[in-house]
Order: sequence, then C-alpha cells, then structure tokens
Amino acid sequence: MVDQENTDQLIIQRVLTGNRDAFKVLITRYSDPLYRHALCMTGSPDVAEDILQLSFIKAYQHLAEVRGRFDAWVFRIVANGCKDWLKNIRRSHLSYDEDDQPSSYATPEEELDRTELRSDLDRALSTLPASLREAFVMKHVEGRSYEEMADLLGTTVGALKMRVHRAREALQALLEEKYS
Amino acid sequence: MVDDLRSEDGLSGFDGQHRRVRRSEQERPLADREVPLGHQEQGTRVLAPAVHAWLDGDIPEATVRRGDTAKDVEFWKHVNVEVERRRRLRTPTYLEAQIMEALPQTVPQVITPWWRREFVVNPMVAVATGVALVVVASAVTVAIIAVAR
Repeated sequence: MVDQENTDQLIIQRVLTGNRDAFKVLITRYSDPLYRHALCMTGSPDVAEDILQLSFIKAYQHLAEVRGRFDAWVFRIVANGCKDWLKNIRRSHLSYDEDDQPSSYATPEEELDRTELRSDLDRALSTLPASLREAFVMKHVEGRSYEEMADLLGTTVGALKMRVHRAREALQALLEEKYS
Repeated sequence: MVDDLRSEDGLSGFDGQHRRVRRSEQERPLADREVPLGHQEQGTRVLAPAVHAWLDGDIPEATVRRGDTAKDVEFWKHVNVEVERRRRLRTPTYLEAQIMEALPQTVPQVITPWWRREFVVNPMVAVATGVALVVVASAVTVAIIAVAR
C-alpha cells in the first residue's frame, strides 16, 4: 500500500509536469473498484460510466490539490457523484444487462435463476436509502473492512456497522420470501 | 484526510446541493441521521448478532449453521453468489480510452482557493504547528509585557 501510494505520487508529479498520458496509469489502477461502486450504487452501467468519466476528469483538473492518498481522494469524488445522482433521480426500477459479461452458469435454468436474483437484488438495493446502500456495497461487494470504510467516508466504525446491519435486515426482509 | 471533497464546490458534487442537505441532516437526532428510516424498512426483520458476525467474517459458518439461524445462512449464501459475481465486474475496455480523450489538454493547475482545499494533518505538521503557536504566543506575551512596563 505504501509503495502504491509512493508510485501514485510519482505519477501525479509526472502529470503535473506535463506528461498527460501518465494519468492513464492511475485510471487503469483504480477504475475497476470505482466502476463497481458506481454500478452497484446506481444500478445502471451507462450512469456508472458517466460518473466514472466525470470523476476522473475532475480528479485530473484538481490533481495539483491532492493531499494524501490519491485512491481515497478519487473514491470520494466517485462516491459523492453517485449520491448526488441518486438524490436527483428517483427511479422505481433499476436493472442492467451485461452483454459483455460471459455467462458461467451450467444450465439455462441456473442462468435464469441467477438473472432473476440479479434483478431482484438490484430492485431491493434501489429501495434502500443511499447511505445504507453505500455501506452494503462497500462491505459486501467491495470487500472493504469497517476501518477502511470509516477512513474513506469520514465516519465511525460503529455507525457503519449499524448501516450495514440495517441494510442486511432490510434486504433480507425484501428478498427472503422468494429466496429462503 | 479530513473532508468529503467539498461537494458543493463542484469538485465532487454533481448537483451542488450535497452540503446543504448534509447540514440540515446534522440538525436531526443522531439516530435518524446515521440510519435514515424509509417506508420500505417497515417490514425489516432483525437478524441475530451471530449472523452479522458471520457475514462480517468474525465467526465461522459452522457456528451459525444450526438452530434458528440456519435459514438465514442459506439465504445469505444464495445472495452471496450474486455479490461474488459483482465483485468480479470490470470496467468496460473502451472506457479508459474514452476518459483519456475527454481529459483537458492543459496541465492541471491549482483551481480551488487555498482556504477551501483539503489539507492533511500528519504528526510532523501537528508538532510544527504547535511549536509555531507556542513561539508566537510567547513573543506576543513578551511584547505586551515590555509595552506595559
């Protein structure tokens, strides 16, 4: 992690001295987790791509102001972008297709079952308040520790545990009749 | 790091309203603020602490796979299949090039005024600031005493 932080700083210095292409290294390094976050928060690949693109453009424009870890800084730009989008858009149904994702399920029935679970989980997630959805996605999809989440979101471990617990209970209440 | 990148100044916000909403949230009781209660949560059930502990990776599955919690374990194992799939999602291959094309051609400059920028307090900075404050306070005190005499 320290090595990565150091190399991030070196890359930032190269960009700030005029090597625009060096920024590509930072995009490659961090786009996957950021895309997953945006996709799970918004439920839409198109919106996730837009948020990611706008966030990296903002990160580039303000690169001279980065203090501390670049990955935490750019994560907060993406996370705020998602929350702002959720505040502006009230959608009753969220779903996404992933034509570019190869199927790994053994039978068509299994595939159907998984597709159904996917859209049911999307729908259930979309009913959660943004703060609960964010906590659930960071914990379960991104696999972050509570300490890391607290560091990124600027809140306490206790508050985040409560959010994750509430999110789980709400999701289970919504889905368990069908999937228990 | 100390802030959330000032979402009202356009650095992180996409609508410029984020901070105003958060301020009003801070006036509400802590419990409401941390866990907003929506109408959809009315049917929420309570999960056993052991299930949360297992989902957090604190205790092994065998511990919760008996009694009343066995059904919860089955449910979450089912959901986790989909969660695992999401964990493997990758950014579309074209997006990186698209972002690079959309970046400004100019070299990044400091845009935000210094008083609105993020700052990091590390131990060295904290000690240096403390020492500087003591020196300034001592100098001011000495000057006041000298003038008073």
